[in-house]
Amino acid sequence: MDLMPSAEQDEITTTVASFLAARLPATAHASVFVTPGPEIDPVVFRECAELGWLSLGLPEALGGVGYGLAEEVMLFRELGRGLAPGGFLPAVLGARVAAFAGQRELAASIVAGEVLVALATRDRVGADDVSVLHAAEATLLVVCDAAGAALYSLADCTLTPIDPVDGSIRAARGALGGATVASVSSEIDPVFVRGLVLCAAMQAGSAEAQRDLGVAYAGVREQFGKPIGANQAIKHRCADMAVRAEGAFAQVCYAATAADGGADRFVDEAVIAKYFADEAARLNGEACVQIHGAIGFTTETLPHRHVWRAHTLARALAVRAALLDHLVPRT
Amino acid sequence: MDLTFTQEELDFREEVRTWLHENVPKEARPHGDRPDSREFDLAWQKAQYDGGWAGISWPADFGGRGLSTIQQLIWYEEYALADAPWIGACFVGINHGGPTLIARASDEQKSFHLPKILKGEVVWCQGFSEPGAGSDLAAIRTRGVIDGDELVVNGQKIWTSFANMAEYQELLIRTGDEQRHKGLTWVICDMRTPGITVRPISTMDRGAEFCEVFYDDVRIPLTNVVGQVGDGWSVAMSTLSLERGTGFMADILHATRTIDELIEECRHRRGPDGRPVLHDDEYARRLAAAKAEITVLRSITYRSISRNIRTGMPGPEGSMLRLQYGDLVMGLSRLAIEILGPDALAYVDRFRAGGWTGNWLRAFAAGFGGGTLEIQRNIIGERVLGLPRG
Ligand SMILES: Cc1cc2nc3c(=O)[nH]c(=O)nc-3n(C[C@H](O)[C@H](O)[C@H](O)COP(=O)(O)OP(=O)(O)OC[C@H]3O[C@@H](n4cnc5c(N)ncnc54)[C@H](O)[C@@H]3O)c2cc1C
Repeated sequence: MDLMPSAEQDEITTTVASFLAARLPATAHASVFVTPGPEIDPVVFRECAELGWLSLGLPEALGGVGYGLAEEVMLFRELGRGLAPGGFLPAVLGARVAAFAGQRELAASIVAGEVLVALATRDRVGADDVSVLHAAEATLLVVCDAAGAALYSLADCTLTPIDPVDGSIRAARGALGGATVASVSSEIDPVFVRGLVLCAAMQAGSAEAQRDLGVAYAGVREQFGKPIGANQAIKHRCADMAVRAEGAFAQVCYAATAADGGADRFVDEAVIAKYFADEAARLNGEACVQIHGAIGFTTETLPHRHVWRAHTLARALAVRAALLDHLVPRT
Repeated sequence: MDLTFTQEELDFREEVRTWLHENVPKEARPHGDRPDSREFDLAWQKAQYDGGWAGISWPADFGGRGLSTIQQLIWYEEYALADAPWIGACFVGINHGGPTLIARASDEQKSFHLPKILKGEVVWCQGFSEPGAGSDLAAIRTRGVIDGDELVVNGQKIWTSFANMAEYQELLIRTGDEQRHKGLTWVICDMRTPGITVRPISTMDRGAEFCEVFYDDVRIPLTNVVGQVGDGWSVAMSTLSLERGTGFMADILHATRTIDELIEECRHRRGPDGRPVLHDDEYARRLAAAKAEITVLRSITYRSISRNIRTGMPGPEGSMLRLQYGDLVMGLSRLAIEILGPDALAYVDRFRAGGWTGNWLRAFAAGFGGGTLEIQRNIIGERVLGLPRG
């Protein structure tokens, strides 16, 4: 038993973080208004694809890098920490659907970053009404739940773009339509549950980033002749952020490792990871803005972007009530 | 990252499980001022020793098993799953006094005391807190003056759990003229020495082990000093690394059990509207959130142990665990008594079946152990995050 990342896993963190800092740096202004043009520079997205980011956890036999979920979460944690734009999560999930459904060519073009995928979350259990993220340039849409996962052609769905809270993600709402392009049941590949863990990893990364932003500001901003972080009201908020961030990432690691080991309680662990990381990202957002004072309320600093992102990801795949109801079913 | 256990560890788990299944006492631990609680705790400790399960990570030279951290973890996990009794009066000897002796005592002191602790022959208590020194432990004033080959101690300790049934005490006193952390001495005090008066203090959960202790010219041989005279602060702080945080796992799994029991209870128990409590979204989701939070605590503990095994150092998670656990236990027991409805009017002690009210009253203490929740937040803020001191 060892729940700390291996040297190889730490290496993923370092590589991804330095790539993001150089090629996709998070800036405060990026999402003040919905930026014109694509969500992510297609050239950069394809570079990421070449680095294997869209197929890290896909088995080698299916054209992937062949790592486990434990390696994949290291990548997604950095994407969350760095507020990376782009539909990485739906690409990874969509490629799995295609690959496990036997559509090798489709999977290959998703994994290469040529075919873009959007992420749909059903508005209610079993409904065709969906909320869609990364909708703008995508041609496919992945939708998944506990039973299975499917790819749809975006052109067959009726979607209306919305003005999203997080302007760095193109969003739409509407209804699924047409036949599925590919589909897999959760027995063949637990796409949904893996998605929960990866989404939780992004939220954990965001919770960590917010902790670090809050602590850094608390150490330099002075009022009443001393850093505000010397006051317990601020210090204790920072401590609570640290506890939530630690918990979120620890649970993500546990769930990912349980999945790689084929543990039967993997589903519950993943659900808990998503629930807790959503909460951690949201609550750390509230604390981080409060610590920053008025500037935290503006678009001059980064905290608001994490607030927007955390809110958006908390609505992806499964929301709080659904996650909790899975853990304690009524019957 | 890896969650698998070796074949040796799996065999060990099986062995532990079988033994616990056959040997965990069937009757509930006596609570409150029942005189037999000491006998119960010591007998259970002795049974563990005789079975070969006492001091799993303690050095073999002094009666321990000298096994690995992972095996210690497995023991605690199985202990909780088997619903084995609270450690009670053996707490300080096993979890604090003993480990301190292992870290800092002379071989002579170790060979005299450690086997007695493991065999369940003696009860230890901890004399640190004083009326003027709680969170601020370095403010202690109980004095020891060297007279020949003895220390003569005068002063008062308070909140000393189990002082009324203890043979020995880990006693922290001021022996020098220096201030604060300097000039302190950690000494083994025989509680039967003339000049010691123990007065019980009763607690809101009807516990009867809380005490204050008065010292009136109590003479303690200098050979009982652990470490050096004047080096008491560092001795007092040396305890915690032995089990590398595995002990927390038992508390966490115990709380997990409690939540599962509560969920089961809610399938049958009817709420004010006549429906099963679990059909109420609010209660069902609060229970689910509690289940999620305790599971996360388990993951933090696993990570903490993993880091500890790699680096040999306790990580920053100790304070995080205490903080999170303290908040969780309070919230959970409050939820339980809300669910109980009219049944929550009755007091049932925490060791008996359905002892939810006793559990809830005890939960108020979870915010103090090993430093209050506020002190834990200070530690995380200052030592982990590097924020300036107030
Ligand atoms: C069940 C139980 C068993 C115990 N057993 C033992 C024992 O066996 N031996 C022993 O020596 N002691 C024992 N203690 C005592 C325990 O160590 C103390 O209660 C603890 O250290 C706090 O001290 P205090 O109670 O004097 O509270 P205080 O230190 O007076 O604190 C009162 C309040 O002020 C807050 N506070 C204090 N300082 C700060 C600060 N710097 N910043 C923010 N807030 C602060 C505290 O968090 C708390 O809320 C036990 C306590 C309990 C509850």
